[in-house]
Amino acid sequence: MSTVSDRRYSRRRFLRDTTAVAAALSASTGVSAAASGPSYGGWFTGDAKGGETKNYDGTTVDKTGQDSVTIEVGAQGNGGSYAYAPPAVRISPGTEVTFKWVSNTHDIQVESAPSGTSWQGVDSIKNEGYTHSHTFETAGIYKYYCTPHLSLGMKGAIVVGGSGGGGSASADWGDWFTDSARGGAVGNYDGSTVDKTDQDSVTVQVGADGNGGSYAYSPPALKISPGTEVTFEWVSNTHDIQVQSAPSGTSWQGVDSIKNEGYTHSHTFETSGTYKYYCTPHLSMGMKGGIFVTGSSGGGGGGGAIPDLNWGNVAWIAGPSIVAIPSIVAYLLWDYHRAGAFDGILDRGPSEAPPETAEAPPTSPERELDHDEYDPWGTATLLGIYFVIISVAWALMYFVEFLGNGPHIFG
Amino acid sequence: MEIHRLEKIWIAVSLVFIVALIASIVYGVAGIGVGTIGDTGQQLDPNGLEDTRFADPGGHWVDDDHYVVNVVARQFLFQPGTQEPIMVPANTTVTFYVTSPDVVHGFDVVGTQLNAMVIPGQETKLTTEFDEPKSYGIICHEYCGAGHQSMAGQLVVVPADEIPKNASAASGNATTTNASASADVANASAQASVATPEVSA
Amino acid sequence: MTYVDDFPGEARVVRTALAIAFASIGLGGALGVLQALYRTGYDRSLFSAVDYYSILTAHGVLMALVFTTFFIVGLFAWGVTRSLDTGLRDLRFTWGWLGLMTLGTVLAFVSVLGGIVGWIPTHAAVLYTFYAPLEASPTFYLGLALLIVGSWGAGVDYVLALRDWRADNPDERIPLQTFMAVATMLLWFVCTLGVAVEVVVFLLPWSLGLIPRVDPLLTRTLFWYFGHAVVYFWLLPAYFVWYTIFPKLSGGRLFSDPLARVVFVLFLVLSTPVGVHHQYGDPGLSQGLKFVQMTSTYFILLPSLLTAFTVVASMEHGARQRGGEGRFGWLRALPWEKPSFSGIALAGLAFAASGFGGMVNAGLNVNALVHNTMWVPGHFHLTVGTAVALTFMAITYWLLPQLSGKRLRLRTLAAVQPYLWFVGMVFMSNAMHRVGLAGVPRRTSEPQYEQVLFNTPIATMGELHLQTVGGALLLFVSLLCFLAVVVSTWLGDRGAEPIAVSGHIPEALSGPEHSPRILDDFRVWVALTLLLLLIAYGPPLAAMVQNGLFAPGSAPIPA
Repeated sequence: MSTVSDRRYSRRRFLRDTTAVAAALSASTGVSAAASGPSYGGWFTGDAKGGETKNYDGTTVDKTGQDSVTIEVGAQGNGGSYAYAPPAVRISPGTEVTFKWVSNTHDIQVESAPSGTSWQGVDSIKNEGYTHSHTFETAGIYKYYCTPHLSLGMKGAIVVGGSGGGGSASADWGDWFTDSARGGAVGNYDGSTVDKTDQDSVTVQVGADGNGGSYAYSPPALKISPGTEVTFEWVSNTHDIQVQSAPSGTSWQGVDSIKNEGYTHSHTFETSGTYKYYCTPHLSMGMKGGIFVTGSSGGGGGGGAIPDLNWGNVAWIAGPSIVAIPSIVAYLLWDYHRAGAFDGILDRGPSEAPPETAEAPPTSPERELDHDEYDPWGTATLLGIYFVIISVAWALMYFVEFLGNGPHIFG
Repeated sequence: MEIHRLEKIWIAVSLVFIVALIASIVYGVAGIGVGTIGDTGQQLDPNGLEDTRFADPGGHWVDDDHYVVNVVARQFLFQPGTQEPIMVPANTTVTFYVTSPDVVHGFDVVGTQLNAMVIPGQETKLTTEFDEPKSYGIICHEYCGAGHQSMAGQLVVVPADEIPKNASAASGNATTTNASASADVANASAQASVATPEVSA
Repeated sequence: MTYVDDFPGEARVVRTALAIAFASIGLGGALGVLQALYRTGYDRSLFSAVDYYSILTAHGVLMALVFTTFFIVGLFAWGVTRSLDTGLRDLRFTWGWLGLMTLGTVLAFVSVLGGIVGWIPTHAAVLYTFYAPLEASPTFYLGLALLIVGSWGAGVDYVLALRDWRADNPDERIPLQTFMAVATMLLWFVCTLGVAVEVVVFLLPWSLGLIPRVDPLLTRTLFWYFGHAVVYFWLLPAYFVWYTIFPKLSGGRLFSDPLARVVFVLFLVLSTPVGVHHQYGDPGLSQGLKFVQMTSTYFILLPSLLTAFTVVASMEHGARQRGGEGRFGWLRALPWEKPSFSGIALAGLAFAASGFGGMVNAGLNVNALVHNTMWVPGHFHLTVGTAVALTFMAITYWLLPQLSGKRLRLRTLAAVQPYLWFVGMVFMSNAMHRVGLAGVPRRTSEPQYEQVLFNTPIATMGELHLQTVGGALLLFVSLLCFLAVVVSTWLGDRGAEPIAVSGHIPEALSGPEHSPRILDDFRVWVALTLLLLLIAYGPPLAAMVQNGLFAPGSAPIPA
């Protein structure tokens, strides 16, 4: 029996709870509030090198204007003390950044940095108490990670400069370079589209270093004028160019078969629009590229975003179910009990309520063999064969596979 | 108790078989000298490794024909091994000492019979000899936490004269480039005669 | 009259235990498929590489600890009461320990679930071996402790039933089924002592923060004191079925009762003092100790080889009674269309194959060829995953009608199910053995490393992955068939028509009358077991605690 005030209170709480649910849902689907920095090309996701950086919430901490900034190395996060805090920070050129180790066994490996920088990270494993400082002058995006905890997502990024690497205003790549599109995030895409609209001929390297190996188109995102000849130059082996999408009317078909280092392919791009392509064997590493030919505004359709199974969302369904189902079961059990279904549950001896069930009568064998009439020759033969098989197998395994294959542990 | 004649024969055969199995193991141990990990008698404080041989992980010569490598296995790398490969001389007695400051790990050189466990507080001593220069991968094969699946390293066997006898050649302070870890590491080492392993499927 | 009419209270207990067992294997099997898909790289979209370890823990606990223990206590409760023809002393006590086991299971499972589901504040991604210093939430250890302590209640129940029967029948030999059940539970008491001490004295207080450090080598050794014998706790109930029921299913009689008793006594005595063969690669344990335990491990091959003869001879007897002739032709006369027969026969065949793997695992030095590689899961999916699990499923088809009074439904599905399981397991286990020989490690979510090349001599890694996933899917389909048969039978009506099976078990060809009475005196065998344990484990454990129970000690590292 609830009073008016109870009901009102509970309605208020209900509204508050549903808002919390909605907020949790939107937060868990990765829609971040105020992203003040570039997307880092998927650096912090699970499809770039290493694991997903859980302590990166989509925002870049703005420390521009400060002379000195501290980043904690090995702060709590990613399931342990495996985080840089903050993971993404924007600073002005000339800022001194101090990396302070707050737990053991971390380093700073530089994944990518603007050319011209002298920063080399911290190459050997250091422990709590260690500090490393560097004054960042060169503008651009620096990405780094920790060797032993990379697979847990211990990654970081520093943006030096004003607007960082913003995407090209005209090219709309949609999701193509992120992990929502097929293949996963393109590690060597830093958010910017290289502008070569003033050139007649442009080179794209196929199989350049990136994405955890030689699995990159370089540059991955290119803007050119109509009539520009693009030469694709293979700089390592085993790549192709599969066209994902292109403006209608184009004759470009990519390079359908696997080619090796030294191969080149040229095409003069006339039709305006957005061309997306990828490399078949290295798609899952993120080897993707895009060319935007100016003219009409290229409609870049984003790849169909297949949402990842989000356990947070599943929990909101599972939670009430886990409460509801046992409650229903408990009610049913209580109801059965009331109807007398459990009476005599602890009784022993024949019960009278359910009908007795007879068994099938024992069958007598077609031919009865008594103890003295039976010799298991079939068994003996089968076991003899088995014995031969395992003896031979043992000889092969022990003498050939094991002793024959060194090196061994000396005992 | 009455046992059928055929079953008596089988029992005898089984016993002979079991004894033969044990004999083949004894032959391997005593005859060829292939054993297993033993007890060094040494116990360590997992938090106090800087007072032990593991203070400076890496390899060094103890005399002309014996090379020792001290390896620390931790979550989630081998020191040395992961950031730079462990270099050992061929045709020399090599002893690995492995321990861990955190959890139980495995130390498995794939493609060989060098397979051991690493337990905090204990010292794993593994003695062997490599016949020829070759490259091997090292895996941690005992679940050790969330990053276990990436815990691996490299072992490179080189001709003995390529490892200088004075300094610790493969110590833990490497100067790797800023490129991505393992695949490029072998290139960074000075040993040109070493074959780089292919990437696994 | 059927069992359910003679012992309705006990039948209810057995049905409940079996129901919980089937729920576990259903859930555990689904998790197994997820693992196979993830690890081979076929589908990594459903969860992360880190979540994999919680899933693996749940799979191991549900399959190897929950499914097995619940089925075993149910099976033995049936066997003991039926063979002694007397009920259990106090069903309240029985429901009590069964309830404790269930509570423990739920607690442990929810603890593991907390690793994947954020709003449950527990974590237990420690795998079913839970080696320190990796640490789970205290509820995980508590749950496992309750599961084990509850199962002790089952042993108490059977021993008390035997005592009561003995008082009324002082001169008779113990009926074989009760003998086997009691021998197995005595083995269980002896071996769970190790893991109980490990959990209750060390890990639980340590994870609660009451003690700061534990010695990882000591706790690991205590686990393996339990860890090898537990496989015999799983195997002996399968042997129970093979010895006492399988001959009748084949149409014959058990070849030798006395030898069956000898086999069980050998297992009781030899199962526990061999655990160090799981620790051949461990530092801190001497080569001498490992050598001694290697020899005793090889001797434990003997009771299994004896079983092979007796069981196959009983099967042959049945075949010949059914009219089979010839050196091998009698195999055709067996009832392969009956799933309770075929499942057990296929389980036995799988076990024979796995014996070879066991020989390699036990070999002190050759163990290094396969230690912690995929060979090991290949081996135990054949042993506990087929020899034991398929036997349990097969015998359910025969038992369930007697326990419930209901006819078996979906019989065609049931007839096919064992073959599906066997074929699936042949593919999966075979692929696991082979990638293991190439060096692919177990217990990892992503066995693909940049620095490492795995050399498979025949077939590519891709083909072996396909076999693994294909086998796993076949196994899951087979499991669904089994569950479908069981559920539809359970939901059926208990009609007046008789069930299709007969619970009558004919006498053995060679009975217990002429075997030494000392076989039935469990006090002797338990004393011998404890003596061997003192010799096998006394020195190493003493050496480990010499410098302190908790030294060299490690603080907990949560996982």
